[in-house]
Amino acid sequence: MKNSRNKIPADFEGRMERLQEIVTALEEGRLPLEEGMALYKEGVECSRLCREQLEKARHQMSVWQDGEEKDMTLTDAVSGRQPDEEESI
Amino acid sequence: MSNDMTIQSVRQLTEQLRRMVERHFPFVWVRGEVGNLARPASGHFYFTLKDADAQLQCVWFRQQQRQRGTFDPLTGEVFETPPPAPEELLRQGAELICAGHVGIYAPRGQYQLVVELVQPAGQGGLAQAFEERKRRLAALGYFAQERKRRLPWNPARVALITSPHGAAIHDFWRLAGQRGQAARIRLYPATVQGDGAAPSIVRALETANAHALLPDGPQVIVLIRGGGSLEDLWAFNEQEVAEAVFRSRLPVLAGIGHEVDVTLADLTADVRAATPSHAAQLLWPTRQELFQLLDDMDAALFRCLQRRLERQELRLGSLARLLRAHAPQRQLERLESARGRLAAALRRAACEMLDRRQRQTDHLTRMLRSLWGPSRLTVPERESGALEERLRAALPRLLVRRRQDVFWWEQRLRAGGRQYTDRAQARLERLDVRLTACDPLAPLARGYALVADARGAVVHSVRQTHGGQELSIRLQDGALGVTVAQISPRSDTPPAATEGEG
Repeated sequence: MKNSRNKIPADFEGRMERLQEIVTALEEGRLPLEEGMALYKEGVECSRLCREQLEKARHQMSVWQDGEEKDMTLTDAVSGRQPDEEESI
Repeated sequence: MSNDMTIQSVRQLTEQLRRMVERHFPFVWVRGEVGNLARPASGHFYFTLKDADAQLQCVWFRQQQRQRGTFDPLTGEVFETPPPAPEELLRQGAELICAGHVGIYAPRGQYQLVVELVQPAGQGGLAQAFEERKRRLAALGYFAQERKRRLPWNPARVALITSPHGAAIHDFWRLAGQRGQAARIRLYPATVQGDGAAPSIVRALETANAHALLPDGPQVIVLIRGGGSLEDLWAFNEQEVAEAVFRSRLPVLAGIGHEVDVTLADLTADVRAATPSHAAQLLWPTRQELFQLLDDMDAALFRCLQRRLERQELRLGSLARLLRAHAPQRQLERLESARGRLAAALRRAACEMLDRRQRQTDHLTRMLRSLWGPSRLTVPERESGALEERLRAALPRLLVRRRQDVFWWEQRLRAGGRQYTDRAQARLERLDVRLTACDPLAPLARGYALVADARGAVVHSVRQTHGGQELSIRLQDGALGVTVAQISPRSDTPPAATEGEG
């Protein structure tokens, strides 16, 4: 188990992984109390950050064009879809 | 499948069969001759396809017929003249190739082909090409389950390959909006229909795979296309597309057309989604799910902490109790009470031991007394005293008596001896007298003579003699030799007796 105070990963999966790791470590329950408390705090922080991330989560769309990445916004105007396609699942 | 022991309703069984059949035959091509053709007011066609050995119920719904329109479904060519109307195509006895999925019509318990596409048998090239290609790629292991990779969970970086103008990207985007973390979706635009579609898809796949090597590169490729006719989707059946999917370093999620549409790209992909929307669903968990996961984690965290604190509290409590229990005062008290207990036990044990000994002693004493009590001892003691007295007194007496005896016997011996000699003397004298009196020669002194023959024998009678016999006559002072001259026997007495007296 990494002793990683203030080393919470920046990305969602990393945080989720870290959170899972912390829960597992705590569930095993072989840690000294101090360390356990520190881990708990870190876990709560991880969870809070993940939650924030999820609440704000918006996918970003970009397009690879002419050998570079460009911003892209999807508008419903660009749609050749037929009415019955959505119900096909 | 369901347990054999379960009794199912007809509906349940039919439902299972329906699912099975639909899963196994999502899209098939069938060739046969039309029979039993019917077209009720609904506008659907009902007919059978048959050959020499079998027949197949078919239904061609009106909506599917409607899709046939202004272009050739096989070539994509736009018709200048309208295609043959369905009723022209479907004629009793016509040889047709029909494409569609096999389903089960529950009310009649009947399986049937749900037709999507109908073409005259003469034009079956595309269908054959598809089947051949599918066989070849299957033989190459393109569809093997073993090589299917899992999609990354809740990916943050996604390569999307589709047309920027199609329905697919919108469907995908709309579903994605409620799911997953904030992901970066990069579109690799591709033509998905018509000439040049296949090379364009292959290029996009290659570019996305090349980007996978970069630090911020995509984690997964999503290849989608909206629903359309079989021909719309044909690019996804091209071998080069299947090959590119097969070669892809990144896992590929394909969602092409409708649920019933299966392309070679779908079959080759690591995961197949039924539709573009379904692809978004497979790619990301819903936000609710993620929130729930976080809630679970929070709960687990809290539970762990709670448990840990409770455990520590318990431990602290028990340690505190132990500490109190081991305080010196308590220790002393405990020792004192232990000592008291031990002392009492010791006293009790000692008493018991003494009692036991006492009882033993009493018992032995009683036994001893009954055997050797003073009552028994006093008599012999007295007796022994007296005997001793007597013994002591007896010895000197015995000695005195013995001495007296000795003396007495001595006296008697002496007296006896004297008497004996005296008596012997007297006897001797008497015997001597008697002896003297008895001496045969004694009378000789008084004048008697003794006559003997020549042999010395005493002659008692005259009868012992004869005339002329020589005899000896002994006198007191010598002897005389005589010869018998005469014999004169006495008349009354025997001569011998007289001589003997003589």
